[in-house]
Order: sequence, then C-alpha cells, then structure tokens
Amino acid sequence: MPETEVLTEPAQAETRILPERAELVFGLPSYAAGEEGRQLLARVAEATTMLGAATVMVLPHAAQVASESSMAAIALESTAAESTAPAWLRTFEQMRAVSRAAIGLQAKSCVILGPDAYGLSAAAIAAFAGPVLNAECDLVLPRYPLRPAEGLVNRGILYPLTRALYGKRVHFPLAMDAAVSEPMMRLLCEAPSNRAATAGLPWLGVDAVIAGLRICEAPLAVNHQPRTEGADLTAVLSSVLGPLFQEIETHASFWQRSRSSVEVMQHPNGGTPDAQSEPIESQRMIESFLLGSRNLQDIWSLVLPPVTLFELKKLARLPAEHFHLPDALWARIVYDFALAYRLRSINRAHIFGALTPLYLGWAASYAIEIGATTSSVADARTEELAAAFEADKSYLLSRWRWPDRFNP
Amino acid sequence: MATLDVLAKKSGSARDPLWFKDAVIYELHVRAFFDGNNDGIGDFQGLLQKLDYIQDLGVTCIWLLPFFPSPLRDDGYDIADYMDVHPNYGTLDEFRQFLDAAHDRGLQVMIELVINHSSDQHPWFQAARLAPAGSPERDFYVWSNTDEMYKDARIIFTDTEKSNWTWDPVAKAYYWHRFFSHQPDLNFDNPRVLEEVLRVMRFWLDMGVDALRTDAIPYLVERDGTNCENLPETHVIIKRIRKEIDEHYSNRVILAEANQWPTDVRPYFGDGDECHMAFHFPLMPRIYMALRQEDRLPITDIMAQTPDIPENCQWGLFLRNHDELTLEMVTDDERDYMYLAYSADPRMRINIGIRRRLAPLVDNNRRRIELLNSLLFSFPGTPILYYGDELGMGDNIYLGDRNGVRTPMQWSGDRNAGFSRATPGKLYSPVVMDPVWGYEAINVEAQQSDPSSLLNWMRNMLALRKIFSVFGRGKLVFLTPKNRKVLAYLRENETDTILCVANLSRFAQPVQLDLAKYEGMTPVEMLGYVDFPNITAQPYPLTLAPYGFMWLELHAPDTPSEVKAESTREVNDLEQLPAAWPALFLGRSLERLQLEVLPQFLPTQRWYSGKSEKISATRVLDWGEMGDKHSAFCVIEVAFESGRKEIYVVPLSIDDAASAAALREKRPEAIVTTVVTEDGTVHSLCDATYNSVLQKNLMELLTTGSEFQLRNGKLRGEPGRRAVELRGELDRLDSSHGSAEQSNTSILYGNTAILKLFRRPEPGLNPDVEIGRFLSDKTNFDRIAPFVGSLKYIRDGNETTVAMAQLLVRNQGDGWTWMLEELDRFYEAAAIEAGTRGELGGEAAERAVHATAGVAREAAAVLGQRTAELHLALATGPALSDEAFCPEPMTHESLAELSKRTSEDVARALGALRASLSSVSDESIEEAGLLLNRRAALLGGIGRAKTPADAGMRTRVHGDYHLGQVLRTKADFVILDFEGEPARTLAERRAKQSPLKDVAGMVRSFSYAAYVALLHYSSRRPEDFARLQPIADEWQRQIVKSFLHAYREAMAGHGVVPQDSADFDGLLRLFLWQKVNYELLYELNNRPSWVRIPMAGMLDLMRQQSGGEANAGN
Repeated sequence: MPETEVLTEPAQAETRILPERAELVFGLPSYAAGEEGRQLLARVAEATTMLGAATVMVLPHAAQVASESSMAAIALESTAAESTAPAWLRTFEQMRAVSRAAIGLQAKSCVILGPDAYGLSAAAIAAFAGPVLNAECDLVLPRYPLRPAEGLVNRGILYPLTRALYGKRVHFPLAMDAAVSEPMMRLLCEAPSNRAATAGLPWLGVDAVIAGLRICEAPLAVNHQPRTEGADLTAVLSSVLGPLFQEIETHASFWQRSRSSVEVMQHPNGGTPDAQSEPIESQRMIESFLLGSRNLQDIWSLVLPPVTLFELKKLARLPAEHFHLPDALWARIVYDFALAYRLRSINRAHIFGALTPLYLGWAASYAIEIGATTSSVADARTEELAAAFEADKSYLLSRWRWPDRFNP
Repeated sequence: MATLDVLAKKSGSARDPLWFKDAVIYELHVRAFFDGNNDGIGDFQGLLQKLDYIQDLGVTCIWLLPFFPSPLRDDGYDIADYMDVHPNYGTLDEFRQFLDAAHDRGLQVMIELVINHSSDQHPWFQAARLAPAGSPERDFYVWSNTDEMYKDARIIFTDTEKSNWTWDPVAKAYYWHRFFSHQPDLNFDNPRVLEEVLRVMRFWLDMGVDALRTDAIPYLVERDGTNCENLPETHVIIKRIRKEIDEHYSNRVILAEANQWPTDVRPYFGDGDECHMAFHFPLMPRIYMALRQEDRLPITDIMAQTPDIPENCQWGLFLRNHDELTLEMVTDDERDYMYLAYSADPRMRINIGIRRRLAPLVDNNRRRIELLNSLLFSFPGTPILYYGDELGMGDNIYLGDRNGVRTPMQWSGDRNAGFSRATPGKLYSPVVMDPVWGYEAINVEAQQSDPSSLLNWMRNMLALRKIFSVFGRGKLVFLTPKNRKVLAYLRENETDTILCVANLSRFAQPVQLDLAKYEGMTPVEMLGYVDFPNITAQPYPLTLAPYGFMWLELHAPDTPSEVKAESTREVNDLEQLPAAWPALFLGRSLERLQLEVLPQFLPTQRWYSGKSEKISATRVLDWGEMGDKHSAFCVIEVAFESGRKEIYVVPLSIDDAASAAALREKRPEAIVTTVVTEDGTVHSLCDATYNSVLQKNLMELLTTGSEFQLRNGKLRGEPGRRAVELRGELDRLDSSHGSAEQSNTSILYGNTAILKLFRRPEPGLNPDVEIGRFLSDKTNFDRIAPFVGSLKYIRDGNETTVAMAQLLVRNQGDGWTWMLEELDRFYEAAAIEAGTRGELGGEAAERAVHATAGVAREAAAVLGQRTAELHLALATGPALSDEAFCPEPMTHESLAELSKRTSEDVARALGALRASLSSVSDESIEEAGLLLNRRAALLGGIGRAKTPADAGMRTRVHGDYHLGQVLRTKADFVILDFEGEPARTLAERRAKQSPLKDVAGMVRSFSYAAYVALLHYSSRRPEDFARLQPIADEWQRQIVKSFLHAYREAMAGHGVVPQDSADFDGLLRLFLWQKVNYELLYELNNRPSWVRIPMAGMLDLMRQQSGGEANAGN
C-alpha cells in the first residue's frame, strides 16, 4: 500500500494538519471539480498505488478536493500570470508553482498534468511518472499522438528548430505535461521570474538540455486542443515564436557549440496507434501566401537575402498543384526570421505578421505533399524537415556571427 | 548559520560571481558622453538617454570616471566629497536612476574609488591643516617637519612636480603627495582613514554599484628606506577592503590600477583575496610596438613575463584609456622608439607617454584598428574600450594636459556633434572639428546607418566574443612559427580550442603552424563559420592578408551520423558519500574515500609530492573530530604501484553548500568531493586547513600544550618560550590560509603568527622545530622568526612533528626578491654607464660596481655577520651541553671522504654535461666545451688540493641556506626555515656538518641572483647579456668579498671554522664544488637555459683553484 495520508476530517480541511513530506507530488493546476475531475483523481490515486510512492496532490482548491478524494492535497499558490491568459501561456507559471510546492514537501519527483489530462488511464499516468520516480531521468516529456493535420506549428518550426539548435530530438518542446526530478524542479524555480512574467512558455526541454539534465520521452494519449479558434494566426505565432526566438538569443553560446542531434531516451518502448487523416484544404493558405508575396516584399527584403526572395518569387508563379516550398528554403526562412528578431531588422511587433504568409505557404506545401495519409507518414516527413534544418544550421551560424546585409 | 550569512550578503546585479571574467568594459566620462540639460557639460540624464546605445554596442559593464564633487584640477581624481555627485553631472538620485536603468539592461557599473589621495579642498584636509600636530584629524594625511623623508620614492608627474612634499603654511608642515601637490595622500597608518574609506565604499556598494576601480593603489602606505610602492602594509589594507566586501557583499569586484611590471602587479591579486582584477599596463605599449616593428616579439616577451594569477582573478586589457599611452613600463630604448614611431609632434607627448587616441595612433588605418581590437578581444583578460574608440574618434593635441583625448562624444553631424544643444562656447571642451577626425566625418549616427562601419564591426566582434567564454576564461598558448610577423596562439578551456592568427605586417604573409597535437580536427573560421582543411601531422599552412587576422574554432571530428540514443547517465556513486564523520570513515564509504576520492584529490594538491608515481591505494590511518565537529584531523597513507608508501596529514571538513561555494570560488582545488546528509542536503568535503575553527584549534593545542585524542593516536602541543604571547590572543586574530604553499601548508594568524602544517611528516624530530626551539629558548640569537611551539602526532610511542608555529617578523620580502630588485636597478645604471663609456670591464667595472652597488654590498656584509652569529649560536654556549648540538672536530678522515666524494660528483656532473651537450644553448656551448676540455686538469686539481690543516668543527647548520631563506628587514636580515634540504632524510638533515656548507650555499645564491637578474634584464635585448656579463662577475666578486669578510671577522677566534685564510678558502672551495655540481645536474635536467650559471661557477672555481695552486707554488 502506498503511504497516502488519509484525511480524517474532510469537512474541516482548513484546520487539518497538512502533510510535511512526500515522495511524489502530482500537480493538477487546471483541475476543476466535477465528475471528470473525480475520475481523474481516482486514476491518479490508482497510479499512485501502482507506483508505491507517498504522494501529495497540488490542486487549485485543496479543500474542495478533500471531499472527493482520500489523498492528501495542498492548495496551489496563486500565480502571477493573468487568469484570462491562454492556458498554455499560464502553464509555465503553474509548473513553477507546483515545483515550489513539491520542493517544500521535499519530494524527489513531481508530475504536472495539463488541462486535457482527464482521459488518461491510471496505467498511462503511472508510466509517465515512472522514469523520474525511478531516477532514470530528470525530465519526462510527452509524445502526443498527433494526426497528420495537427500540430503544424510544432511540425514546421518548433521541433525542427529546437532539434537543430540544441542537438536533442525532443518532439514536443512546448509541452503542457511533464514529470520532473528534483534538480529539474529547482531549475524551474530558479528560472528568471521575468521570463514567466512576460511571455514565458514551458521550454522545459531546452532548459534541461542546457542544464545537462537527462530527458526522456513517453507517449501520453492527450489531445491538447489549442484554444486558437478565432485567434489571429499572427498572434499565435508571435506568442509562441517570440519567446522561442528570445530563448535562442539568450542561449547563443550554448547552441552554437552543438552539432548534429541525438535521440533522447524513449520510455517505455512502443508507440501510439497510427491515425489516418483527411486531406488538408490548402487553397486558402496559398492565397494568403500570394497576398503576402504581393504586399510584403519590402518588409521581407529587410529580413530575407536576395536568393530567398528570388526563390519565393518563383514559388508565387507556380500553379497551385505544383506549389512546393523546399525544406532547405523553409529552414533558411525560419533562421532569417530568428536573426531578424535578434537584430531588430524590423520592429518585433511586425516580424510575425511578415512571417505568417510564409508559414501558410509552408503549411500549404506540406498539406499538398502529404494529402490523405497516416500519422506515421506525416511524422516521417517531419523528421525529414528537421534533418534539413540541421543540415543548414551553419547558415544560421554564419549569419548570426557576422550579420552583414551584403550576402547572397 | 553560514547559509544565512550568504543570504544576508548584498548581491550585485550580476548572477555569476566571476562575471567580470566574461565582461567587456566600456570606459566613459559622464562629462563627455551626452549633455541632457544643454548646459554644455555631459550629465547623468544624458547618459541615461544613451544607455540603449551602450547596450546595443555589446559591452557589459560601464566604467565611470570620477563624477564626485571636485575642483576638477585633475579631471575629477581630486575628490572633495566622496559621497555625492558633482552638480555639473546631476544629483545622487539621478545617479541611482542611471544605476537602476543600467542594471535593467543587464549592464554592470564600475565607479572610481580614489583612496590614495583626496583634493586639498576636501574637508578632511582642511581640518587636518588646522588640527594640532599628532591629533587624529591631522593624521588623516601624511605630514613631516622636513621634506627629507621617503627620499627613495620617485616623482610620478615629472612635468609638474619637483618634490613629493609640499609646505603648508597653515599647518606649518610639509604634506606628502605622490601626484599633484593639490592631491595630499591619505594616511593609512591612521585606522580612522581606513574606516572612512570603508564607509565610502559601503555607501556605493549598498546603492548597488557592481565594481570599484581602485586608483593609484600601490602608493597607499609610505615607509622610509623604501620606494614607497607595493609595500606589504599596502597589501594589508587591500586585504581588509576585500574582506569587507566578501563579508557583506556578493558578486562585486575591485579592479587595481597598479602601473607596474606584471610580476609586481601579481601580489595585488594576493591569494585571490585582494583585487579581483588588475590592469596589464606593459602589454599595451608592446602591442603598438609589435605592430610598428612588424614583429611579435614584444608581445610574446611581455606575456612570457606575465605570471599566473589565481583562478578567481583576471587581467584588465586595454588599447587606450583616458590617460596618456603610458610608457613607464618599457625600457629607455623602447620608450625612445615609441616616441619616434607614434608621436612625431612633441605636442603629442606628456609625462612619460603619448596622449593620443587609438585611431590617430595607427594613422586611421581601418585594418590596423581591427587587428589591434582583435588582439584585445582574444587575449586572456577582460577587454576595456575607451568611449569613442568604437567609432575611430580622433583627438586634439592642441588642448592641454590629456584633454585632447577627452573631447565630447561624437553622436551626429549636427551642431556640437550632437553632444549638446548649448552654445558651442559653453561646451566643457571643443568638439573635434578637423576634416579627417571631425564629428561631421566620424559620428555614431553615420556609422549606425553604414553596415560596413567600424561601429558595426565592433558590435559584431563583441557579440561573437561573448559567445565564447574561452576568451575570458581560457588559457593561452603561443605557437612559434618561423615567420615572426605572424602572431599565433591558442585559447583553450575544457570545451573550446580556438586558434588565433594575426598578421602584424602591412603585406600579406604566409605561415606554417605546428598543430600536430590537434591532428584530425577541423578548423572552422569563426566569423563566417567556414570549414578549413583538416589538420594533419604536417605543418598547417595559412596565408594572411595585410594586417589580417583569423579566429578558428578547432572542431573534433564529427561523430557518426547514425542516431545515437542518449545513454542514461551513470549515477555518480561519489555523490552518495555521507556528510557525517563516523559514517564517512566506515564500510563502503571508507572504501570509496580511499579507493576513489583521495587518489583523485591528492595529486591536485601543490603539497603532494608523489605526482610522478601512480597511486595504488590510500588508507585512512587515523582521524579525530575537531572543534565544532565539522572538521576532522586525518592521517592518510598513500601506497604507490612501486610499493613505496608515504604518509600525509589531510585535515578535512564538511562544509554546507554556501560555505563550499565561497571556498570553491577562491580555491576550487580545496573541494574534495560532494557528500550528502541524511536528509539529502548536498554538502562538500573540503580541505579543512581553510576552516577557521580548525585553524584556531591547531594553534590552541600548540600554544597550550594540550593533548587531543584521535581514534588511534593523539596530537600533543609542545609550546616554546614565546607561546605565552599568543595565549588568550587567538580570538582576536583573524586566521587565514597562506598563499605560499609548497610542501607545507601555512596558516596565518593576523599579522602575528604563522603555523606551518607539515603535509608529509616524517617520524622523528623535525630539524626546523629542533633548531627553532633551541635558538629561541636557549640562545640570545634573535635574527630568526621566534619559535612559538610545535605539534606532534604520537602513536605507538612514535613521535612525528606535524606542525610548528612562529611569530611573524615585519619584513620587505625575502632576500632573493630583494636582491633581484637591487640588481635590476644596478643593471639599469650599469647599462647607462656602458652606453656612455662603451664596454665595461676591468678597473672600469670595479669602479662602476663600487659606485653603484653600495646598498647590496652593505647588505651582504650584514648577512655575513648574521650568518656567523647563527653559526656561533649553534656551536657555542648552550650548544656545548646539548648532545644534539655539541660541536665535533672535523677529522682528516671526514675531510678525505669529502674530497673524494667531491671529485666523484664533479666527474659525474661533467659526464652528464657531455651527454646533454646537444641541449646546451648556443650562448653556453663555448663554456661547456671549455669545461669538458679541461676535465682532467679540473679533477686533478681537486685531487691535489691541499688538505686544510685546520678544518674547524662539525656543527648543526642551517642546511639549505640561500637568499630565499632570509627575510630582508630594515637594513638587516632574519633567517628562516631550518628544515634542511627536503629531499634528504631526517637523519641526514640533522647530521653535523661544517658551517662552510651554509657559507657555500649563500655564495652560490649571490651568483644565481647576479645571473638571473642579468638574464631577466637582457631578455628584451639579448646582446646586453654579453655586454654586462663582466660587470655581473665584478658585482658577484665584490658582494661575496663583503659577505665573507664580515663572516670571517665575526667567526674569528672561535675555532668553529678554519682560521687560516688558505684553509678557509680550500674547505669553502670543496663545498662550492659540491654545490655547483648539484646545480649543474639540476639545471641540465630542469632548466637548460640556466645551465650557464653553474658552468660559470665551475669555471670561476677552476680559476680560483689555479690561482690557489700558483700561490701555493710560490
């Protein structure tokens, strides 16, 4: 039996003695009471039993939960991030808050589950926590089961870019769920507070790579639904890539030393079921690209070198069925925008507006190429793109180190 | 509560305590940067507006020249109020605003701490003038009734000052000033002055200032009979300042302005417990010299003379600053050359230097400017840029003093260079306006919009440099390609190797570099990230454009392209060692400690002598908790693969994370390993000789004669007569780990006492303890460091001395250093003499030495007398009734044995010389040939030497006597260290010998001093060696003569050494032969370039021998 603490007086939660220590902490910062919540708590309790660890939960409203679970729980301290901000912008602050609580409880491990974790089974939760609890690694990041048409920002930019720069193949560098060891918790807590206060995102993989901590990936059958409906794509890109480009600038001395990349530990072995998806509609994306091509030439010419502009011009002339943005060209475009962000070649407020049509051009090219296919095919295609980013990393390095506008 | 202490410290804006190592410093004057209120004078409001520019440039720290209230007669270095802002520049609140804004941008701020002197308008000075003589107020400054004191101190501002004393009619006394007469020197002999200085320092540090540049720091304290520079008392003051910072603040820095040779600047880093940084003054003129001469030698030469500095310290490097390009740290010839090369117009010269900016110095040649900056950014140290040099700003040599390089910053082509909107006549200084250098041609606005401008080049270079911490923290290794127009060097640390190659010539140059050590690696040009051909075992060819330079990262061969799964990191077992004493020495923990931790730790220690052998195992023989239970006194046995064993004393302590971090910062080698408490808190196992509780415990044991039980044996203190002076005093003395660590570890107790911990003790009586106790307790000989007591480790009836303590003696450094400094002055004077008269030899040399080496000759005579007094104290009076000291006659048999052994040693040494002939330098080969040709005559001569009829007595002697074993005190000497030659056994070191063995040791030490100083002096102009050698020989002859004359006079009539001159000389010669043989073998094995020193000694002995035989024949 795990050493879970039984609360003897659930109705008077505010007066009971809170646990002082725990082996494992489960953080559910997005927990909401109700049937789904009760089921999740039950599965966490079951996972705890499977893991055999003395566990404490960290929840937004511990007292409320007390009536729904026999597990010890403490309240999550309120975070600085505005409650109206998108969940994925609040996640980093919440992760820090859970980590602080875990450190206070002298826990060796901590699992933080994001807002869409209600469907997880107890076995999946236990499997996700296991590698950290068993001291096999310092950070477990999820491998979400993406359909081919899902997670395009991650497929097209986040994964290839972070893999090429930091040398570790972390497939979801911007994760909403994680299991972390004590050193990783401390790293989270020590991160400059202004990072969270401005536009901090949980770039846990990047932080762990830089700190030399061990990373592991584990499948996690959560389908996070980004709350982007109605959101402007430029705003989305800006909120995700702005912080990432900032991280790249901050850690320039690190990533400029890494060459090629290595796979991180996979745990447990075995993947997720292959999913089929319908073809993605690409015409509107191509039109957006063409519109940008007509209107944004002046701005693009402040960011992109002549040869890239020339390639884009040729691309704009192609019929839709032949529309294809080569991987190397896309990699260089992303690199040039990262550089423009650093050099402030154009106002940072406008930079992602200029990138949006180009991103849609890439997305259209990807959609046309994969058509109706399976996740595994799409994943393989993503790996190819990532390899192209890696192959052209020297392009970014040379431009970063000697940003002369007089270039090819 | 160490953790709380650390938390209580006020942190600077930087997160890394060693931030200054990666910093790029930007030096500016508030007055000259930007005028925010349009009154014609730059101010803090203006500076605030330009912080974005500074941040964008890529520098990380702003150094502000003095901005305090001041009459401004020395550009603000004459301060009238240390804790305010000059109204011209703004207010304290505006300074705070600036400081916060700089910190918000990640910029650190350094200000001036001008503590050598104040303005004569400072209230302290005004009060001092009026206060009665001897009062504390008067004593804030240095006063005298005459201007005769401190006559050996040079005048620094030779253009304006005739004396360092100025008469004050109000005080009716002279006051001391090393700089202008309106800048009286503060008196650091008055403790209130230091208190005030610390108050000032706290004021600014509390506000958040990150760094302090300490102006004119070598001159803080004055002492008669010295040059009043770099005195030990000055270092005491600096240590006190640093201690104050370390105790109450974190991540703050002191930068020393000590315009001295690198070896003289080295003490300002102390043991990592004085200044964090110091300027490297002599490098700067030599960079310019190398550029003009198209020869790397001036640079490599000065870097070769640059000593290692503690890990937590850093050199500050610069090409130009607000002063003249100082030529104080060059030779006269070099100065002449520099004046000719860089200051055609005499108006460009001031004091001892050239008052020009960087760009005009190199004729505005962009490639030269870039080349010099590439050296600045890639040399080991922190680069310091002077405002405006990032644009290539010019100067105005028609302005007075050094104001020509302090003109307003050129921001744009608008009126007043965009510096101010005031009427041009109101500007504090005219802007530069000529067609080449004027603000219309050179300004920030124009260069910001020009992608190819120097400003953009600087920004790119700084951004690149910041990526590689190896530039600030790595070591430097020069390569030596044949083409001396090319300077090539490697910068290396654990992660990066960077090859820097620079062409000092105005024409393209080829070069072939020996990079065989890096075979297989790929040089990647750093600016463009371009792969170059792989390195092979063959010389690596490069071609450089005129004034071209390249930085190349050496990349290891690429790892195989297939995907490698990241392996799970091995759990480091060592991290699991328990942080508690009994547990650490038990079971599996003890096994790990003995088999893994100690074998890794010991070879990293300077006192560990077994570095050449491989350790098979270590064993904790004994241990016991001490004092606060955080420390343990441990005795460790080290077994080598050869089967040999050694015993070491290794006190250990368990330090919490905060204490360990503080120790790691200063002394990383003192950390043994990580240990973990029961609750999982990480601590460190450390060398406990840094632990103040253990330091005091050891001295208490020793002075009180107490016993302390270890697990198997015990420690016993054995106080001497003088121990009483320390009893009850220990609590008020700050103990600290000493810096001069060799085979022993020193612990200092304030300025009062020193404890030597013998790291590799041998069973039996230590001669240092035995003789020290005998001389202190039983004789009246007082020219030693008084013996306090010793500490013995006793086990199974066997006694081993593990520590001894002595009282400290005030001194001016050891005899060796003192004599080298004397010789340096002597050769300087002799070189001028030789330059005037041509070659110096024969009688001219004799006269010249007689005229210029008076101080050294007198010192040698005093030393001769003290040596004799030591020998008499060891051989007469109480010695007669002590078996260990009672003299014994020198028998004929022992003499014959000595003579035979000497012949054999000479034969062996000459054999070694013959075998190593190929490694002897060209300069020495002739002397080597001469010695080998005369081998037979030489050996025959020793064999034929007449046996002295009276050989004197065999007594206890010093045993390892040379200039390094004496301390220079006021016109006298104190003799130290009676341990004997460390390589010999205790029995050999305690054996009685002729006192002439010590005499021979000192005579040879004089010879070494003469030649080492000459080698050093002539390193810049090798031809000087031959030119000055006759005068070196003559110096040696006269010094030895003075020493021996005084020695013999004092020994006369005691029968301890031969009384007859021929007997004395003959016996002394035998010991000299022994000594010189040892030296020859040592130099052949270790320092072939010094082999000429013992060879010259051998040839001299041969000549003496021939003379002796000739005299005997007559």
